[in-house]
Amino acid sequence: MEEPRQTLLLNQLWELQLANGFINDAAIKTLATRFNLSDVEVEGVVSFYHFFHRKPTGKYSIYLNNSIIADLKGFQRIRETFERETGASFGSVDRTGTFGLFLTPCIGLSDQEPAALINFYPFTNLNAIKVKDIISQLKKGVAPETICDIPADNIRYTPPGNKSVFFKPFEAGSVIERAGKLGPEGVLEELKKAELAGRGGAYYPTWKKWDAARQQPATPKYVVCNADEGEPGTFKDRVLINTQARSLIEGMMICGYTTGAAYGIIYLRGEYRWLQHKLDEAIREYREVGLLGRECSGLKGFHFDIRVQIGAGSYVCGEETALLESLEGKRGEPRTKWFFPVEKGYLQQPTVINNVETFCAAARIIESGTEAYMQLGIPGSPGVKLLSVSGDCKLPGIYEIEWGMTVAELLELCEAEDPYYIQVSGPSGECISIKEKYRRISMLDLLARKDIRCGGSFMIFSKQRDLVKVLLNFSEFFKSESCGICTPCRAGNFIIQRKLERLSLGLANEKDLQELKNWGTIMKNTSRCGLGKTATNSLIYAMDKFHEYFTGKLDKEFNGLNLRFDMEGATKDYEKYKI
Amino acid sequence: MAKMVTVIIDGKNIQVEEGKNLMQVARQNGIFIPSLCYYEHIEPPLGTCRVCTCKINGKFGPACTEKISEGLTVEVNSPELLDTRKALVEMMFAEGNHICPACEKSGMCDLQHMGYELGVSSTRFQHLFKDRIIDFNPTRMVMEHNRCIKCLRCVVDVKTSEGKKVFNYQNRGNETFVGIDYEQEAKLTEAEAVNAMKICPTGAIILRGVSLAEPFGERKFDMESVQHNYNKKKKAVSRPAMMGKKIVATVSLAGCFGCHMSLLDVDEELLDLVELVSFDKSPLTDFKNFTNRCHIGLIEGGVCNSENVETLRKFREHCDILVSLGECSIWGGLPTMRNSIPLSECLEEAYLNSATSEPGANIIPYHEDLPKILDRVYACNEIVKIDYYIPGCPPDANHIWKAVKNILWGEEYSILYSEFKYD
Repeated sequence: MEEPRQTLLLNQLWELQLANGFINDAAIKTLATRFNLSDVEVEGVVSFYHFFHRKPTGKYSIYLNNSIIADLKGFQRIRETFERETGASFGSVDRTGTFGLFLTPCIGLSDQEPAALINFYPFTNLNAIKVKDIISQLKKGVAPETICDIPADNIRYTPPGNKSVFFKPFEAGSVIERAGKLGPEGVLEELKKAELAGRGGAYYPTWKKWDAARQQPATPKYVVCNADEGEPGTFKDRVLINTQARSLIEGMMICGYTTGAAYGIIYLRGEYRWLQHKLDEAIREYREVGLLGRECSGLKGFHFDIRVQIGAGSYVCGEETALLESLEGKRGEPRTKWFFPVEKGYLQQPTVINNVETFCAAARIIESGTEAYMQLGIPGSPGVKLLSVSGDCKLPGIYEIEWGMTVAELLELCEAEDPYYIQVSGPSGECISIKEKYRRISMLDLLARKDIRCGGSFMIFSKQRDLVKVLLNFSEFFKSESCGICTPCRAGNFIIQRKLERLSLGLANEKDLQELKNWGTIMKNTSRCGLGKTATNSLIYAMDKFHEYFTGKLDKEFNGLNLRFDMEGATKDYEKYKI
Repeated sequence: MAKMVTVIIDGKNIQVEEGKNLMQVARQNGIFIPSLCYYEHIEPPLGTCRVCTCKINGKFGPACTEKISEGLTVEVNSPELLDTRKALVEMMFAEGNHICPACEKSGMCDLQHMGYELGVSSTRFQHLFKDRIIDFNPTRMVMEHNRCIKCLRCVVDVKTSEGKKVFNYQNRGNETFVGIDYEQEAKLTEAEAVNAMKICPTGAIILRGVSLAEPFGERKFDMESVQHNYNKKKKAVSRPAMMGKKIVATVSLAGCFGCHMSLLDVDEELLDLVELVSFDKSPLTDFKNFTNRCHIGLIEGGVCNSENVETLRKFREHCDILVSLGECSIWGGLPTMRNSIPLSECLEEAYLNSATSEPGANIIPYHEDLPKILDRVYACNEIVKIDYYIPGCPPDANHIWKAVKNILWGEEYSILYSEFKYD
C-alpha cells in the first residue's frame, strides 16, 4: 500500500534504536533530510516515545515495570537487585556500557509480575535469584532471546459448557466467507443485533462506527486495530494476539469488507514486540492462501492487506486520534474533535479504529451467528467480556466472563485474598470498595451506577495495601504519560501528584481533600482527550468511597490557622553547613 | 454565502453563519470568552490551552474547536465555568515560572492580561518551580522556557520558506517544552522572526536587539479591560462594620520593602488614614514585638528562612485577619528564582565562588543565632492560613487601601482594571 514517507519514520527510528542502542545526532540529521523535516521535528518525535533514546542505552537495555501491581509483587527488591548486579542505577547505563536500566509503566504482564523487558524480550515472575542468574548469563554473552520467558496465557476461566466465544479453534477464511454471504449490510445488522460495542472501554456501538465509515464518499479508507494496550493492569489483548491472531485479522477483514476499506494497520505497542512474529506469521499465511491481497478471499472486487506498526512506548497513543498521529510518524498527540476519525482519520482519510477484542468479537459473532452469542450475558448486555485480573489474588489471568457476573463471583473465581479496594478498567477507570461487591459487570446502567463497566483491567488490592500509595503511583503514571499538549492534563497531573505527596506525608488537612476533588473535576471537564478527562477518576471516587481512610491520613492537630510545616525537611540542606 | 442559523449564547439568540468558529462569533458579538492559544488564522484551531472552556449543548468543551450549527446552546458565564477558566489560567501561572516584573513582555503579555481580566489575585495551586532553562543558542532569538505556556502557536505558524518547522514540542508530560531548531531559525527573515515573537502569547520568544518596550502605562494591556462590565461584575455584599480605631501590623519577610513603599503612595490620604488606624508591630513604627491584638496584619514577602516562619506564625497568632501583600507574599515572587536551583549551589555561588568573594573564602555562614535558610522560598499560605490576597509587584496603593478599608469597615469599592496589576 502506498503511504506518505513520514509514516515510515517510526520504523526507521526503531531500526536505529535497536542497532545502535540510541539515536545519534547524525541520524537525526539524516532522517530530517530524508523526510524533508527540520531537525527539531525529528527530535520531537524521538523524545516523545520512551523507548527511543538520544544517549547510549547499553548492550542490554533493561526495562523494569514500575506499575502498582509490580510494586505489590516485590518491585523494590527486584529494582535493588538489578542495580546491585549490573552496577548501573535506574535511568542510566553502567560504566562498561553493558547494561542500561530503565523504568517503564505496565508492560502487559500483570499476571506474572515482577516482570521486565530485556532488549524487548520478556522476563517474568522475577525474584532476586532469577535476576542474579539472568545478569550473570548476559555477562557471559548469552543472548537474551535465548533465555527469555514465554509468558503464559493464564486463561483461567471461560463460560462453562464449552461456551467460550474467544478461545475456541478458528478456521481461517470461515468468517470472511460468511460475511461475503451476508453482504456489508448483513454484517452491520448482525453486529447491531449482538449489540457489540467498543471494547477498548468507550463502548461506542461498533456497527454505528462501521456504518459511518461506510457512508463516507472519500477513498481510500483505512481499518486500524488498536493493539496499544497501555492501561495498567490490562493484558487481554496480549493473550488474544498470542492465541487468536487469525480471528483478529479476519475481524479487520470483515470491517474492510463492510466499510470499503482496502488497508488495515495493526498498531502494536512497543512492549509487545516479542509478539509481532505471531501477527506476521498469520498475515503471511493469509496472503499465501489468497485470503489477503488483491481480489482476495474469493470476493469479487475485495482487496485487503494488513501491516503491523510498532509503537515506541507511550500510553497516550492508545487514544485513537493520538494513535493516528503516531501511525503517521508524528508525536502521539491527540487531535481536537474538529473531525472524527471516521470522517478524517489516518492521513485525513475515513478510518475505523477498534480494539483487538472488538475485532475478535466481531469475527466470532459473524462466524457463529448472533443466536449463540445472544444466549450469553444478560438482556441489554449480551455476550462475554475478557477481563485481565491481577493483584492480590491466587489466580491472576484472563477471565472470559459473561456480562452480568457480579464482582463477588469474580473475586471468588480468582481466589482474591482479603479484597478491599478494586480498581476496575485501570487507573483511568473507577475504583470500587468491597462493600460494592454485588454490583454486576455489564454495559448497562452506567448513569444509575448500579452496574459497572469494565475496559479489561481488574486490579485487586487487599486491606494491607496503602491506598494513597496506590493513587500516587497512578498519579505519577499520568504525570509522565500525559502528552503535554493541553494545560489541565500537563499541569494538572503534576499539581495533583504534589498534593498527594503532601497527603502521604501527613501534611494535608480537610481543605486539601476538598481541593483535590475540585481540581480533579476541573481536569475532567477541560482536558483535551480521555487521558486528562479520566486521570482523576479513581481519586475522586476513592475519596468518597474510602472517606474514613482519607480523614485518617490528615493532620490531626490542624487548628484552621497554622498549617503543618516540615521545618526539619526544609532546613536539612542548610544544616550541612553547621560547623 | 453560508446559511444563517440561530445559536443561543447565555440565553441570547444570535443569528450567525453556519460552520463558523464559535470563538470568532463570540468575539464579533462582544461576548468575552477568555482565550490564549486561539489565533484566528490558524485552522484547524489548536485547542491546547482550554481557557475558552464553555458548556456547549450541556457538555464541557472549548469554544475554539466548536463549529456553529443550528440551535447550538452555549453557556459562558455560569459561576462554575467562570471558576474553571480562572483555574486554568492559575494553572499556567503555577506551572511556569512567571516572574512578571522581570519580563520584557510585561504589559504586552496575553497570559498576564488574562490574569487581570479574570481577577486572578493568587493561584489556588502551589507553584511547581520546575527547573527550566533559557536557551541562548539561537542566533537571533532567546527561548525563555520558564514563560512558555505550550500554546502551539509558534509550532504551527512559524515555518521557513521551505516549509520546515522552526519550533516543535519536545518530550512529553510535565517535561514537555517547545524546542527551537537553530539551523531553521537562522533561515527566517527578519519579519518572520518578529512575527514569531509577536504571536507568542507570553514572553517565551524574545528577539535580541528588538525592543518590545513601550512606555510603562502605554502597553497593550496596561490601562483598559476588554470587558465593558469589568468593574460591575461583583455585587456589593454589605458586612457589619467594626467600629472604632483599628490596629494594623505589617511586616516584610523575604521581600524588598517595595510593597511598604507602595503603602505610602496614597499621598495625602495618608493623613486621613492615620486618624482611622494605628500601627502596632511594623517597620513603620519600629515596634519589635506585638503590644496589642491587631485587627489586620499585612504580610509582604515570602518565607525563605526559619525566622520568617516564626514571624509569620506570630502574626497569625496576633492578628484577626492576615493579608498577603504583593507577589512575593502570595506565591514567593522574585526570590523564587532560586527555587529550581539546589540550595548548596546558591550558597556556594554567593559565598565561595562569586567574583566579589574574598580569595580563599571557605565559609558559608552558620551560627545558632542566624536564621536557617530553607530549601526553597515558600508562599505564606503554605505556612499559615491567609485570608486575603492583594496582587501586584508592588500592588497599587489605591488597591491596597481599598481592600484594607473594605476588610476593616465593610465599605464596598470597585478595584479598577488599572489598579489590578502584577507589575
